[in-house]
Amino acid sequence: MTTFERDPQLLKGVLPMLVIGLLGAAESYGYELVTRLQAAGLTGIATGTVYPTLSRLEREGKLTSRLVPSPSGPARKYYRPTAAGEAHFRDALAAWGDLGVVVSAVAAQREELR
Amino acid sequence: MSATLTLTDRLRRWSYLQDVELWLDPMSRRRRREVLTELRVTLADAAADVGMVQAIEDMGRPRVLARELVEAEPRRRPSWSLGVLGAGAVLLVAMLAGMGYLFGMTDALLGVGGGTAEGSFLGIRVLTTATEGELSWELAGWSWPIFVASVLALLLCARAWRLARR
Repeated sequence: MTTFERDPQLLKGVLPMLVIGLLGAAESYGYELVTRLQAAGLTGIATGTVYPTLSRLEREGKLTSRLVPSPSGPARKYYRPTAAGEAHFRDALAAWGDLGVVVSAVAAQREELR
Repeated sequence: MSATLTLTDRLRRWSYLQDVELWLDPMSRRRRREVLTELRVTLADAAADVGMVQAIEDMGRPRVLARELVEAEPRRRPSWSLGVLGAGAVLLVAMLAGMGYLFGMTDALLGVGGGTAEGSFLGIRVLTTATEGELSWELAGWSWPIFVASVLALLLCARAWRLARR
């Protein structure tokens, strides 16, 4: 995978979609989600970036959570998307796809002019 | 993923969360407790993986993390503890300025051979006696300028206008 510095603003915009997407595949607690995002390719993503996003999505009603007792400490909070969260994911994914088409078209035009 | 934390790691986590809690003041107490509990668990999970020092570093600066968490809240409350800090800072500055005034007055009196003089500092009457055998100050009255500045600092630092948005 090519390594390059990601634009923090771009990441901030796309992170809710990625979080809901991953949680839709399988519920997770905070740190587990960070490791899943890292495994998905966001290698530099920090806990301090993900946690406020989780908190915001839950407060906006796009995620719901449940406490699961942990054998080695306090209960962990597992998150999963609500119906509103799933709808948001579908919309965000479609918007991302549209944007990707525009970016590809602009890149193709540049290649043609060279 | 959590493992038993060493005493040092517990202290590091406690210290970090204390800093975060200070900036979470605009949250309700119940919500703040929820957030801190989850951060405590998350730090323990991360520490088992990368060590507590790295786990704390990955969380970012306490103030930045707390600000983002507070921004995620649908309703923000005034931050009264920051308001008290702001008012305290104004009182401290006023006290230091007042001490400067008293010492300056005393110095001037001693410079002319001693005696008693009366002055006023931001509305507070000051009676200074400075002779070879006696050094005393008498303060009387109420300083409206200091009171108003302290109240303004309290309201501004606490962002008291958030009360009106409910």
